[in-house]
Amino acid sequence: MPSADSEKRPLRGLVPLAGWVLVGALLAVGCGDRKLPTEPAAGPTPNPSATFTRVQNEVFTPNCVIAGCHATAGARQGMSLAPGTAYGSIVGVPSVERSDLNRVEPGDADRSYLVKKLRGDPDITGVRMPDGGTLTAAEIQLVIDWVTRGAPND
Amino acid sequence: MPAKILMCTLIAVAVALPAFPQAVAEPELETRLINLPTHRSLAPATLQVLFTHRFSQTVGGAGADNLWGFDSSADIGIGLGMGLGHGIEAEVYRSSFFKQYETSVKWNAVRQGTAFPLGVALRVGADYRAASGVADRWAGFAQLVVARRLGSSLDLFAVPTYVSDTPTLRNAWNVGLGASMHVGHAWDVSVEAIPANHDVRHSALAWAVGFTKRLSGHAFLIYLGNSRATTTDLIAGSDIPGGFKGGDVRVGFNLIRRFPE
Repeated sequence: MPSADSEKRPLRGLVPLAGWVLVGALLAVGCGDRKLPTEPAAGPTPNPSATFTRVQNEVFTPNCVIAGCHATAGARQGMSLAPGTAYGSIVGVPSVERSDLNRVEPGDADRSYLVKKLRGDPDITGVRMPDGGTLTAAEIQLVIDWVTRGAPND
Repeated sequence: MPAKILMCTLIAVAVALPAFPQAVAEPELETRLINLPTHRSLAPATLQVLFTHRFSQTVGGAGADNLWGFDSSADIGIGLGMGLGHGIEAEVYRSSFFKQYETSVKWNAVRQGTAFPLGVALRVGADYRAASGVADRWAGFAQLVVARRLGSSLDLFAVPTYVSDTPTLRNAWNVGLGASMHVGHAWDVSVEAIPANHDVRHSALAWAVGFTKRLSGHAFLIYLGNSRATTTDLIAGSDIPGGFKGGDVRVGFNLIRRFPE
């Protein structure tokens, strides 16, 4: 009958193996193959780094996703700009205040009501957004560039 | 290169598995640590309901006017898990972020105990992003969960993860790390860290701290962390749209109920 020690010995040999497997895995943390960037739309070349991720992170989330404004629950005009729901709420969706315009018309910033509201164009209904403040010129340009790129969900 | 490492990892574990005896002693753990899976699986014929809730605004960004994020919108997840026996469980999880569905099967291949000090599980599944405007909707993933208990109250976890597609990457690879400390009176304190992804611009380390209270058949976890990701693809890619910074702090919770208790 084998002793307890001899029974454990093979398992002890496997512990270093598991350790090496783990070390090998840790050496490769956090990597992947980048997807190709979305093809820009025809016309003036917009900033290719104007992604929807940046629009969400730098414009919508800090300025618009506020209770009583454009947070998911009870969003004004039914337009949530919260992460994960914003894209579906604006791209190709008719605006409430100007039903002849979409909130975002991919590739056409001048026919995107969202851009008009941020710029405070004279043909908007209601007040310029964000209510109680304005975005910087760089923030507005980021949105315009993203729309001009075709409004990809990137 | 990552795919080769993943294959070598899986093969090495698969070869080693038959030599590991099944042990009986197991720590008191849920099937999910905070966002990462643990090596535990549901008992046969046990149904588990999971709710996850992550407020979208950061504590600092929201400020006192918005009650440090509690006034903001939230990413909400609902999951159903079922123990199928032989250490296998199946789960369906739906997150409001990307209107995403995640299906998975987990096999608790090796139980942690006196005979062998590691717990090992293999989890495979698929994600489907149903939100409009998403170019690539499907992603497959495979995860290996390696767990180690130190002493009588500390559990450590490493979760190497491969995902075929994330919002900005293909063939993404990452290793989540976690720890759970049992502090008595059915309370646990857990931490998780998912390294930043080298191939994602402005990627940051995702960290989370969870305070869990267990009551017969229930587990309630209070969440503090910087990322809102709760699905495997967004966790491994570290590229959740909207992004996050290392210093962000968000609040949220997980709620688990098992039937029978």
